[in-house]
Amino acid sequence: MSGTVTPGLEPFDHPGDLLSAHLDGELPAELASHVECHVATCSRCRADLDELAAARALLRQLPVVSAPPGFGAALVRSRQQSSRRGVALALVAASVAVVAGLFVADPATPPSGNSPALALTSDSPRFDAGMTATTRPALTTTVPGASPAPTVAAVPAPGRVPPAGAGAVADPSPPPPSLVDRVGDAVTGLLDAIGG
Amino acid sequence: MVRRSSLRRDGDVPTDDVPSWDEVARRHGDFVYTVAHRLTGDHHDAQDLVQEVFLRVQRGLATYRPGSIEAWLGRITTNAFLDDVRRRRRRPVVALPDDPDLVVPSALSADEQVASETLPDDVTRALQALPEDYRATVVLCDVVGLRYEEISAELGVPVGTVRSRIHRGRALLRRALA
Repeated sequence: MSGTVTPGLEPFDHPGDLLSAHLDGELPAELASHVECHVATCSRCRADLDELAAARALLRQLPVVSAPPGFGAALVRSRQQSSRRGVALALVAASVAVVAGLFVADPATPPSGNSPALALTSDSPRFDAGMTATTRPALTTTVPGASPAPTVAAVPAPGRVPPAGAGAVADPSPPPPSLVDRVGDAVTGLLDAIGG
Repeated sequence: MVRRSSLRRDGDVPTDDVPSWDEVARRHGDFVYTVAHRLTGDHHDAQDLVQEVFLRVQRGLATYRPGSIEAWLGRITTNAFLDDVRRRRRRPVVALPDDPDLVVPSALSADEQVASETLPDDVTRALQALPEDYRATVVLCDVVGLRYEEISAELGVPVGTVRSRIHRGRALLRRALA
């Protein structure tokens, strides 16, 4: 018996996977009636039907699974942080764009590791009655982008500009033909990081 | 149409209001967590999955069409699970015989059919032993409560395939628990 439905089923044809569909009320009346008639006379299919019904009941009777304490609260918290980080990164993007414009020779590289993926903390209030938040930090995952964004500031950090000025600042001779491109790249990179 | 499963709650009534993210999380968080746990089989993976689901909820609420929100969440959860499975493919999909009769276990005596003696952990383990595609189909049917046509549309497979997966999935489950 294959899984295909044959309208002209004979009474002695075993229903096969129609048995589960019959249990679920997924068969048209004609096929349902065939299954009923067949099961009434075929002990093997009747036993299969019982087995399938038992498996279905086991699945449907499984209890609700509760999340570990603090998980729900952490989820809510992480969303709030994610939103705030988005705003912070937008500000950083604007700042870096300015820096890139001022320091043409310093290639603007978007910060890496600031993925906006969910980052969980666990000091939030309740999330749901089914997911109680406790004082125990059940979930304390690392927060890759959680360090304060303003460290990437509009003012170049001293360490980033070699004292000898090697390629970092103000080489007046070459005109900046790629200024727009670099600023654009910087902003694009950051927007990607934010939106990614 | 959505068939209510035992897991879906009375609060999951079709509504014309689009809920906020916080509302979804508060009212349906345990439902999503349970579906995730059925699919993944452990808390660690369930938590990862739930995080992904709520990211998708955040993006998807704008286009959410009023209706059964837990059916919607169940779809998102299952799709996120299958996406992850396809991405990682930690283990190959087990090929099953084409003939569903071959996987239907032999009949047990009435004494052996006492479902109440089976522990939830055993069922969860047996569920994890199913190939992911079968597991996802069975969960959409028996946990989320979708009808075959809805599952077919959601997974992009013919209704006949849905029927076959559910049938084989339950048969394998019962055999594993025998």
